[in-house]
Amino acid sequence: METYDVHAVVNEILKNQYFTNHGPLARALEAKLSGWFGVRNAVLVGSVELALLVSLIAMRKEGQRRLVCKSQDYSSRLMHMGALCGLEVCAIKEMKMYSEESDVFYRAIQSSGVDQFLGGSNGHTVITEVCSSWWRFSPSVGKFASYPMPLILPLPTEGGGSVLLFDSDEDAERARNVRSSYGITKPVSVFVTCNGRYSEAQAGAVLNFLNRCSRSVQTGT
Amino acid sequence: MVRESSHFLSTSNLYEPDKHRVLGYVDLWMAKGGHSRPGALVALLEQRLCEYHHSKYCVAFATGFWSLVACLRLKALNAPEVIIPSFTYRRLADVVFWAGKTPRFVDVDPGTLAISPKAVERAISSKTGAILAVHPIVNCCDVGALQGIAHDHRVPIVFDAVESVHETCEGRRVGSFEGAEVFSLHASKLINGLEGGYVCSDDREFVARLRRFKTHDATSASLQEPGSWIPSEMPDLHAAFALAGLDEIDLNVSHNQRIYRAYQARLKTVPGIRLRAFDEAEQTSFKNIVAELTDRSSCSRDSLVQQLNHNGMLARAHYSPPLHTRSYEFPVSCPDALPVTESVAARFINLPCGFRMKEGDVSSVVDVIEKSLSMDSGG
Repeated sequence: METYDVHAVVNEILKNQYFTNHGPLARALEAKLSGWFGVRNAVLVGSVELALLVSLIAMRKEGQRRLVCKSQDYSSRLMHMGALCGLEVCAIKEMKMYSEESDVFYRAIQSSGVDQFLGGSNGHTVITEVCSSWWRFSPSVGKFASYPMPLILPLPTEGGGSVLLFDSDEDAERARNVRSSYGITKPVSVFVTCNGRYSEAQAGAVLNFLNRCSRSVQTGT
Repeated sequence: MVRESSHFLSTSNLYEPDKHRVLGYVDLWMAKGGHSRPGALVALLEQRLCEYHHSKYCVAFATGFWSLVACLRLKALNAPEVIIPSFTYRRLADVVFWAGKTPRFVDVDPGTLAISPKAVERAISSKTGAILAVHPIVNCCDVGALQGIAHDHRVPIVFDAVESVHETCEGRRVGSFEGAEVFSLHASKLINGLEGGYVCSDDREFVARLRRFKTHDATSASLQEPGSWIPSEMPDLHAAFALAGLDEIDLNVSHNQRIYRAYQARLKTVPGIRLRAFDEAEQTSFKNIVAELTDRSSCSRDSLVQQLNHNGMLARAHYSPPLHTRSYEFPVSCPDALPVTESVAARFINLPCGFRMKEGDVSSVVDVIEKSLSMDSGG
């Protein structure tokens, strides 16, 4: 279990006197993660599931009806997220034709990082989720930068939420606007908004944990 | 003179609970198992909120937004529309989208500025899946009339009470009514839980479904209803802030009352603007300061907002623009004219308020208002 110094996080929030979302701690964490992974944009979202919803809406194209995944990645979780976005979730082996232009693809990358996606992805929107505690595999941090974006990564600590990585500034801004009006760089038109906000407590907990990890690596403890 | 941003006056409550009280709850969480027992403080918060609202059950969520979505998803009939006011929170139509329904906009009552029971009754049809009634940010909607209509037509009703944490309606605590009432713990609201929401209900079976909706693992029961699950557990650290804020709620309300009294005293002599009065026959939080530009004002509401913002005082156009005038990429419905909404849409303003506002700041705000109104009238 990833623990953090709760007292230190409370003190930091009260010192900053910033209680709404996407304040100084969230901004610091986004900067740390984008630098760490070598991508232009890190967009913090309240949970992995919300990150999936936000990315599906941000990357939405007219006429999309199906969320397509490998059969081993089909889950009740994906079914619910697809349903919330109005998408039917299909596992590849159940489909007669699995490469309709309007399909959006979901792929999961397990801890090994091996990616053997079966379906074609040329021209399709592909949303990739890293399903591992990547922070345990340091110093391999940064390897995800070569994967197609957007990329969803879980964050450490209970309720630590998630980060969406984007190279495209435009895609990232749409995701921020879908997430909420907090933390946007500029208002842009999106299909629908939700509340995928990321709190200062979440940011403080993750920063505290990652900083402690870094210190442990540096001191060899 | 433009204020420094750190002194920026806001329309949000931003209550800062006592540090030692927050840390006391953190210590309590640690004593109960801390990181190895997530949810321990949240359970305590739910229990305390039940007592506070005189509610039978309370379910905490990560946000008020997803609390509303959950209630509509689980309560609505198998029919396509949810009736909502147009003159309301700017993202309420989006809530209805996530609930898998189409928002059907209706008018507000000119007296309360809340969803009009008559308009709701006119809009009910075989397409109606639910009513989402919103308490306005000053006083309450007509709970009795709306519940009567919902009951007569056998349509579920959900109350959005995010700004009505402390209020009573006809002497009864908001949160203790039948069905589902949704609250927010966002830092801008009366109780600052940093972020969060909760649902009060007297319906045991519905509460069990709400808990399944927000739990970390999708349960087999949820598989029958695609879209009826999204993990929305509130972090314990948020609960620590909310519990501390709940302990101090009387201090918070007293502060807000002083600010409201200061506005009352100053604005009563300013022509062209009228403070929206709290109903003091009921219990109220005095949290939000809303004023109306009257016919005597030659200054537009938007111009006044601009002047205040220019002076480092965050003011907002109240519920503007109304939802039915916005453009949407998802389906919405508004077959009827909404004359009251149209007539009030450009008249109301949210003035700076909340914990960071001091009584002395009210004079500065009113000075800017007075100057703006007199300039625009050629004074």
